[in-house]
Amino acid sequence: MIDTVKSLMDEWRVWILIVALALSMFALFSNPFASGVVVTNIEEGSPFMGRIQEGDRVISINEVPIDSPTDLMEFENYEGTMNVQTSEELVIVQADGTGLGLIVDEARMVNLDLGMDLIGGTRVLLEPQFEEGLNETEKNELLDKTITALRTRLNVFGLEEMEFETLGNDYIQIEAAGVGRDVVRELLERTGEFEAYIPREISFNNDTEAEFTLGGETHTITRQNGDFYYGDTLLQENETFEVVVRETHIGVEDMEITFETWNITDDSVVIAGKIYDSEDIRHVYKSGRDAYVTQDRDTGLHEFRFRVLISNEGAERFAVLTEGHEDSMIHLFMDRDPVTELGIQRGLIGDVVNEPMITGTRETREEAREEMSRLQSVLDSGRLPVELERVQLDSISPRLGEEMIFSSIVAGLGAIIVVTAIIFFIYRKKEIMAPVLITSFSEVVIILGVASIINWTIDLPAIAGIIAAVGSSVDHQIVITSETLREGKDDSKYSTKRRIKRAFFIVFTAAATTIMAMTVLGFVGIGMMRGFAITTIIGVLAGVLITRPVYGKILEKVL
Amino acid sequence: MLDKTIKSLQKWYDGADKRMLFTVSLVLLILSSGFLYYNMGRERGEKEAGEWFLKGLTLRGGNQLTADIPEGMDINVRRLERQFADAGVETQIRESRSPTARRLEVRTGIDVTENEILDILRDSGVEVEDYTFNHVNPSLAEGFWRQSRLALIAAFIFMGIVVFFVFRDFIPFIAIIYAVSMDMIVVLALMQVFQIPLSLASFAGLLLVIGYSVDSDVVLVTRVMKRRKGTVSERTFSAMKTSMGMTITTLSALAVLYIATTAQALREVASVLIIALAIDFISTWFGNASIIRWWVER
Repeated sequence: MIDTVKSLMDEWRVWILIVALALSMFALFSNPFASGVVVTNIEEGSPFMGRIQEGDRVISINEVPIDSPTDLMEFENYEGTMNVQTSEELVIVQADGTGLGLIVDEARMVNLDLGMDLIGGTRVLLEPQFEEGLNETEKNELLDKTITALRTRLNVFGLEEMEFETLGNDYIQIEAAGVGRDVVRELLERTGEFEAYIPREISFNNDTEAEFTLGGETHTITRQNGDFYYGDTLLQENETFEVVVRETHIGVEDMEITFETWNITDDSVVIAGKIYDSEDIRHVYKSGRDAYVTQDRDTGLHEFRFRVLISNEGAERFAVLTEGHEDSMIHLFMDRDPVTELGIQRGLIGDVVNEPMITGTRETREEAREEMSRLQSVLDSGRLPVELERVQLDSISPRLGEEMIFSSIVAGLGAIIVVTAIIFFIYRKKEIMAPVLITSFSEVVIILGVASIINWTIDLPAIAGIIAAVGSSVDHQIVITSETLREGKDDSKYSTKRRIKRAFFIVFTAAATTIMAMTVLGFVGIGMMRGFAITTIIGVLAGVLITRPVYGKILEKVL
Repeated sequence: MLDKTIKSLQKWYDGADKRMLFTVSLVLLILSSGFLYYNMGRERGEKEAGEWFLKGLTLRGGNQLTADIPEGMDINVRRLERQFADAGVETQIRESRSPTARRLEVRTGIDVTENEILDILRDSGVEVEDYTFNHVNPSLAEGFWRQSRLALIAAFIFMGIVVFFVFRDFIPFIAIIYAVSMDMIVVLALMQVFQIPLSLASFAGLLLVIGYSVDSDVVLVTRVMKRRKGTVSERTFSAMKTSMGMTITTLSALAVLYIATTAQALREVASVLIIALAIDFISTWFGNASIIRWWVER
């Protein structure tokens, strides 16, 4: 036994297997005690920016072990120097008490991504309905914009984290692990209608008529029996009416403005003119000189500023509605819910402003930043650039998923044990059982290790692929065994080497066919069975190149 | 005991007429093709008349709700279907069992929402808490189906190229193509008999069938043609023994998988492969082997 192991150690093939196994195990169990938290995202402006990378683990801060996102939260408002031990190195971070800006996940013991069909969650496949005649680049741009808009909705609506992915230019896939279908539906169905109004309070002072001006032109609201009228239109709360301004101070004629009645009391009405909706927001600047946060030296407050590009019509409505009303406020709404109110700089009143700067102040830099990105998202999340048709939805209950992981592991182990027993039964040699077990398990470990290294998600099809790979591995082990045994005793003409070589002729041919078939499968069904194809191919390659040669070598020695 | 069985099997196989063995495989192939054709004309379960194969959700489109049936609850599938029909919803309902769970599968068209399905179930006294819902648009499913067919043809052609390249000989090439095609056709026919739907999963199984099928064919052809030791029938039989070992081990592994797993996708792959391995034995040792033996002995 010891001699066998010793002589095997002289074989370079055995060493390749050992190295492959070691690498796989290292990739899979790089963090055997699941210590620390994995950084999944570093927000802009975080003190960790440039210090650590996404994917690093934070293990301790100031010698306090960090083992869960909650542990990290303890340091959220820490001010001063932090000694942060990461999986890579010790870094020193200066925190200003405004938050760490880190999004983290609990570290896992096994470094493997599990598919949604195993952990539960929702996956939606959307087909963009492009207009005719777009080329691929244009489609690609539209899809990118659509995904950005969807991400914005996630932020604005405060929905849970999801992954967006384009599959060619044909589909958008949204995957949300552990999230129910309702959340995804909300994401897709809430269109996010943005509106901006400037309200006017019109007091009657017990008169039957009251005037208000629009772009210098005077309009009248009348009162009869306690009801208010604009022309013939009865004003009712939350109802709209159209006002046409014949001549404006900016020279535009016959401008139509939609008003909404907000509030009616005995002696006054509040009407609000709509200046912008989603259509009017042409662009929201997000970076550089057009969007930033500064600190006011005197007050210490943090001010955010960002620029928005408005359509001409919107800019003109702004001019007409603000003309002569220096105290005008712009009220922003998202899906009819109030978002915020903005004051207007004195200098802009009555002007056609195409690129207004939106500003606000907050106590901390972090808050200012948050408010800015919230407003940007609101302004940006109009209708999606492309209409999306839901073509596939899978929503898997986490419990059923868990059951599947468990039953798959049971099935895999059971299959290997049964197969080993049967091989023993066929050949009646106990020496053969260890090599069979070693080969089968090695292949599973290498497949999982490679999946971990290339960040391949293990889903149900991938598990089927692993089982298929092990199945064909066993087939090939039998071919090698029977080739080795068959002519072993009476035919000295054939050296063991040659016999094994012949066995490998069969193994290679079969492997080539399987790899071909699986490559084809990788392209079917927008890659839904790609997990199956990839794991089978990895398994077959690992088998042919690494494990099965070693199996042959071991057989040479033990039989 | 085992050795004795193998001995008598060898005796029978040696004595058997090659043409007779080949005819058996051919008859099976023709019967299967005939059955597929006959089956196409009929409406059968969820398969409409005019369609060749029963198709699963991914290749047909529709909605499916899968839920665990609580322990002790008795469900009358027929009655439940009637209750859906009364509510104006056309469904196919199936109950599936595994050692750990009983599952209820409700399939409807895509215009029925999951909440409607849940409501009708609740009205029928079936309270479902935890469930999985799948929706596949028929147009997408149609695309999958088209791709699947193309992929099967492509895989088949690639297989042919590999086999031809490896043996560089016409007869072995034809023999292997015959055996693999036979596997495919008979398996497809038996899938109709056992009501196993074609889905992306069972389809992956079918592609693997090509691989497994070539495995045994290559063992046979290599042994018989590339060896000079022993008689042709000895060589054939030794290949058969090896192949039997392969089939039995793989079959048992798949059986374990089929029994243990609760995942429908894995069950579909497993059942397709189990059928295929059984058929492969006939296609290889009755079909392929007869052609090869005839050719070598001629």
